[in-house]
Amino acid sequence: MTRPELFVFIALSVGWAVTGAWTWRIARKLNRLDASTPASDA
Amino acid sequence: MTESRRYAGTLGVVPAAIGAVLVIVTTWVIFAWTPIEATQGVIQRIYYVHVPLAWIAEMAFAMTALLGIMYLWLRDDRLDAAAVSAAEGGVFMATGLLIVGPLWARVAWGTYWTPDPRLNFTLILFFIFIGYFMVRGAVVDPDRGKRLSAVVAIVGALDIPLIHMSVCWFRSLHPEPVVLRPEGPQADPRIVVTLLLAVAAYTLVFLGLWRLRYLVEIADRRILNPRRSLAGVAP
Repeated sequence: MTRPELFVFIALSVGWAVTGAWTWRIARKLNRLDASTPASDA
Repeated sequence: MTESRRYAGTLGVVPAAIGAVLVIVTTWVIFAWTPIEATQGVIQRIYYVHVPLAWIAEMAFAMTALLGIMYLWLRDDRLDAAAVSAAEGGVFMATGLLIVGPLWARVAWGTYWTPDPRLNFTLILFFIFIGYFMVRGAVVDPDRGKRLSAVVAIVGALDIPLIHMSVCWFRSLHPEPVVLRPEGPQADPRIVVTLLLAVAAYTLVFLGLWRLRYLVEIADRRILNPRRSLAGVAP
């Protein structure tokens, strides 16, 4: 694999990584919320 | 969970899921259908992630500023929740942009970073929006934090036109636009189609996640501060 090919692979992965990181953050906040919500309110 | 809440969440999940599928399709299109650009070769393929990330980061920060203006005017907490959700997405996308851009620059220009006007203005925008969150965290009174951060977002958004025009106004290593030109796109039609597909895919993902982040923010505020809340306000 040449350096340009490697960089393209990394760049495409970064696109996925930042999207995944934001999704993970939202999911974590949602989990915390679910844990702190009274059962009657769910 | 009530039906209305489930429906509100679906409005976020569906575009994000469609966008994610489109990103996969775009990745296949990049390698299977789009020609390798003649001058730069393989490295030009970074274009299909670099431009969408730049577009979304700037769109997110522009949305934050617009919502900030509306918040300062109407003082509706939902506008602030929408603004902070957009800003958070913008920071994630700008982080990606600031990783991907230097990779391309290393091969195209021989250096990861150079004090080019567009690069500098983009980095400044990123720092301003890091400051947006720092201001919110630094102020004891949350309402004051919301007002101050709205002002930071409005001032920060003034940087967006500078990023765009810098390649025309200053001597710059960064290439001028090849698609959004008054004379029409300069590139191979397949490159343009792939770029538009990538931009649409990432935009859908962003809008879906923004919607979900907004719903979480609203619910978070209801639980943390029910008295000042948005009780009775539909998401």
